[in-house]
Amino acid sequence: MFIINQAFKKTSTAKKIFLKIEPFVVQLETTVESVEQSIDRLYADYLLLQESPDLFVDFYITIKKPSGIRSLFNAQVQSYVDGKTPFKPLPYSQAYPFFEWSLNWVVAAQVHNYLIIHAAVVEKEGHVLILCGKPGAGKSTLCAALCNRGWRLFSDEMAIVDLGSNEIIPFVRPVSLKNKSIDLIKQFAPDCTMGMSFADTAKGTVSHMKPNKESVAQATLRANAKWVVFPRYRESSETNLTTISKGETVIELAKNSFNYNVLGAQGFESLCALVERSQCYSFEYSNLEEAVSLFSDLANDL
Amino acid sequence: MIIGCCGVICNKVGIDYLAYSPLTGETILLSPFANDVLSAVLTKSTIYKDLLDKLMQDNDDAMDDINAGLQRALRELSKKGFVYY
Repeated sequence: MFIINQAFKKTSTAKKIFLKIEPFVVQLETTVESVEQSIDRLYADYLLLQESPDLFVDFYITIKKPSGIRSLFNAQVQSYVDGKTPFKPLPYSQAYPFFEWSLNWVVAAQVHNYLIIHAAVVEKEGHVLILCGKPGAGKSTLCAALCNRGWRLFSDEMAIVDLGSNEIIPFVRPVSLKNKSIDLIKQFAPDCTMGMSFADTAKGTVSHMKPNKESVAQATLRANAKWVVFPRYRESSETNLTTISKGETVIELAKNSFNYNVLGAQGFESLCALVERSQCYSFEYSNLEEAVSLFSDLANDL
Repeated sequence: MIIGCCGVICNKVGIDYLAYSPLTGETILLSPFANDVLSAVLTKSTIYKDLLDKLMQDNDDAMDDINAGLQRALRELSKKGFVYY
């Protein structure tokens, strides 16, 4: 008793898009209309490259219906990363978030010339704020809010650290918001551009906030870390910034790094140097306005 | 003989002591006492008695406390791939 999905009886031509998402070039090939629409909306300010023999592509991601018998069943979509399928197919409606997750995965799994830490990153006046924490800690929400109050977006997903200079490299992409955070940010910044909402994903409802033009335009401008903060959203809690030790910060950042163990001694030295020059805090909040004011004050006090 | 594992790196960040072992990939936070122990072993392979004597000279604590602390530190450092004996 299988349902053959009528949607897949239509054949569509795969469209190739070459995105310059600093510091990488990504080729996205897709047959899914909602992916194209989301790219048009959320990556509107990015440089689209033309296919040419000289073009070096870092990652090839294809989002299309799965091949073989799977294509006959319920509406599904598969992600092919460099021709391989590292994930199980997802519902067709989740095609666009699947692209974003695939890109996260391939960078985390394959890029080892940088130290990569799971964190949101923003910058003001040449100083980088790293917001590191487990999923659900509120780092993307805080990152989105700060970007709507004058901070430059580096990334809401990963801090990319140059192993030579220890500078943080921007990896500007749409900010992934989940569940209650979506409405919270819409209320906080009614002028921000949001993409479609995708319900019932593994992370709940997901929607992406378009990065502002300035952040995209300055995506080659690196900066040094000034603050490392471990945020935690807790309902009804007071806004509370507490200094933590640098040693503890190194240990926590190492735990949250995707490739610390691959890099060995180089990763350790880089992390120590980054933390040495940073102020380190744990941060608890429930009120977004208060949280944003606090970090703005911190930046203004320099 | 107590010997430091190859490639172990120690760093002071702020007021904290940290060490990394390529053998296990472990990064650990060290107490000042454990840092003294590891630094001494990494500088020169040694025997337990000489290490205890050195730590006795550098610390004001009673011999029994230093002895117990040294045993504990060496056990932990060995388990995590920083020294072997």
